Amino acid sequence: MTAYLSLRDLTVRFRTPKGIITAIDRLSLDLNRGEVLGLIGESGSGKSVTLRALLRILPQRRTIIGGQMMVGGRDALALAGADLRAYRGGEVSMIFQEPATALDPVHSIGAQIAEAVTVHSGCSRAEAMARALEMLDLVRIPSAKARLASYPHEMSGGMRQRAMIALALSTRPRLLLADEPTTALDATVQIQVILLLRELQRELGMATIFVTHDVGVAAEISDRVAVMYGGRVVETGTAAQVLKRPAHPYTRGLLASTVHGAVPGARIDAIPGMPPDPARLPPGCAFAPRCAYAAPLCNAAVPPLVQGADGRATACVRIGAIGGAA
Amino acid sequence: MTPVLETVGLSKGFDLRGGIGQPARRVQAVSGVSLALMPGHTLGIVGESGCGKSTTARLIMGLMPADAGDLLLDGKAVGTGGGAMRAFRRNVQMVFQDSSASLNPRLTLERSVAFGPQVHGLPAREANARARDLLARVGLDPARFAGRYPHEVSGGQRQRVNIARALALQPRVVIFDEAVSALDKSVEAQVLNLLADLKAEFSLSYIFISHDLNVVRHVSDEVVVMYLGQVIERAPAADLYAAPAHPYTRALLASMPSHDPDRRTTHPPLTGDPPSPIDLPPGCRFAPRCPLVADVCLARAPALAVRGRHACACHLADAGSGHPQAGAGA
Repeated sequence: MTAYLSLRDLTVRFRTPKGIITAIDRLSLDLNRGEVLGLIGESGSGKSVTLRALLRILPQRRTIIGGQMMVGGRDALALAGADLRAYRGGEVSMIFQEPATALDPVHSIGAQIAEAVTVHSGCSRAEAMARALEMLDLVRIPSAKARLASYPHEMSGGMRQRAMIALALSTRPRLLLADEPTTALDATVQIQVILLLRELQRELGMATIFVTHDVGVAAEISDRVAVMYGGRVVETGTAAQVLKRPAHPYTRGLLASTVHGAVPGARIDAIPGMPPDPARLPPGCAFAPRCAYAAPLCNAAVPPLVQGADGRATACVRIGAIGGAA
Repeated sequence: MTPVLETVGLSKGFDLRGGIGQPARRVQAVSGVSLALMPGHTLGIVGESGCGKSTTARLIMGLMPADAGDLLLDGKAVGTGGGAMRAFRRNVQMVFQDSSASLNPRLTLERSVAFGPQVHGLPAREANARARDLLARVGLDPARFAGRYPHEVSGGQRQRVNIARALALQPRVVIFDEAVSALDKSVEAQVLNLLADLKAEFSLSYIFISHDLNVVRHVSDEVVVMYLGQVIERAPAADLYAAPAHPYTRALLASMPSHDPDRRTTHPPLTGDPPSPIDLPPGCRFAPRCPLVADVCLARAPALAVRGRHACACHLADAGSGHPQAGAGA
């Protein structure tokens, strides 16, 4: 069986005044229906660009996209015109980090959801409003009927994010992209939204990619996890494999940096240096300059993502030498 | 031992202009906050948006006047005049969350760090020399970084500059308001290590404000939990995380993602958002969201009851409060 979503050597380059920057380098991923992939990485790792490429919203004139992007058996990179409009927001939908800026401030929540529904299903205004109400109920916004007429500024942060989720799901997408959807929320609200997303995802069976820099959030929601660094996936496997027994030196360092479960006050085993500048990636492994296990071999070529017997894949030529999973 | 820095009953409210046809309202941002920072300690302050943790820091720094309350340095009240405030700021410095907004874009990193000491009377040459020393101390080689401008360095490097600048006046207390929150995790870990080193080297005491409960546990000796402008619980960090007494603290800790995909959170500990501190209820401010609310909670606000080094403002913690479950498990 082929996967619902299949990326093969997806490469995204941006033309900038300083030259061409490679934001994503030969990214390959598979995702099945009903599966949640947690995409973890730091700023500049390419996780948000991956989502934007999937939604086909990268600025066309400044972007060079290579490789293959198959979504539901169709070549999503070849879509244009009406097909592309139906794909964006219909087949694939996105939840953004900041609902306050992603939602339209001059239209009520009900009107915004109804518009999306009308555009994608062609139903009447009244039917669309009924669907909007159904969606607000689904994301458990209290007194949903009254809230249809609310504007984004009249809602709290958590409520706005629920409304954003309602909007994203109103068109029955088969692929849901979530870009740090809980990062801007308070702790007690974040966990509510995570649990809501988990439940809706199970109920509606969408394939989901959940981008986050927070390892704890990824552990709460992901079936599988992919760790990105310098525009490439460096490790992927089940959530338990990657988050409980990280293998790649970067994943190990990232988990050690989160101070979760560390002895209070003890020195943190921090990764030295800084995430790489995408405009100046080293010739070999992008993590080599910060890696405690780096050897001359690491700078020779970009290490390929190699899959082990347990299904976990790691892009590290030193993995044998450093003793497999931690 | 005398706390190096202490606040007693710090309060601050803001008036909101009413909209058309709406009356003016009042936001009670901070209500009677008393904190004590012991020398050499780190005092963590946690809470969600609107809990008053940043306003408290700004009140301490004198960035806005308090409506009521006292500020003490080494047990002595800090005056309100310009001279007293200058002397206070030599001793107490602050690092903010937004590393670029807190640096002057037209000053080189060296000048930014040297600026404070010069204002406080140090000759330019000595101020520059101190700045270069401090840049080196926070991990920025002065030969490479002294002449750069804020936009030429990364967020983590800028925050190191802000730390160097806070230390330039040789303060005894540094307040960090979400100072590592905007950094990437791997960089955050480096900065936390740096803060620990600097604290030991310069005999500093820290107030560390953050929404990240993991980080606060890691760095703090004592932790204060705030909710809607009030301190609702205070305890040594290990006690607070091991045995939280206030229902809000319990919910906050239970809201932390589990980090273990095999042991995920199954129920949200609280529903709804933290309310805004406008027109607060008469009783306990947490009562409207509290799973253990009783009549007494709505009628009367609980006082902060101190038991040893653990203080908690909840009727559950007071056997004589009239709460039906009082004394049981709190």
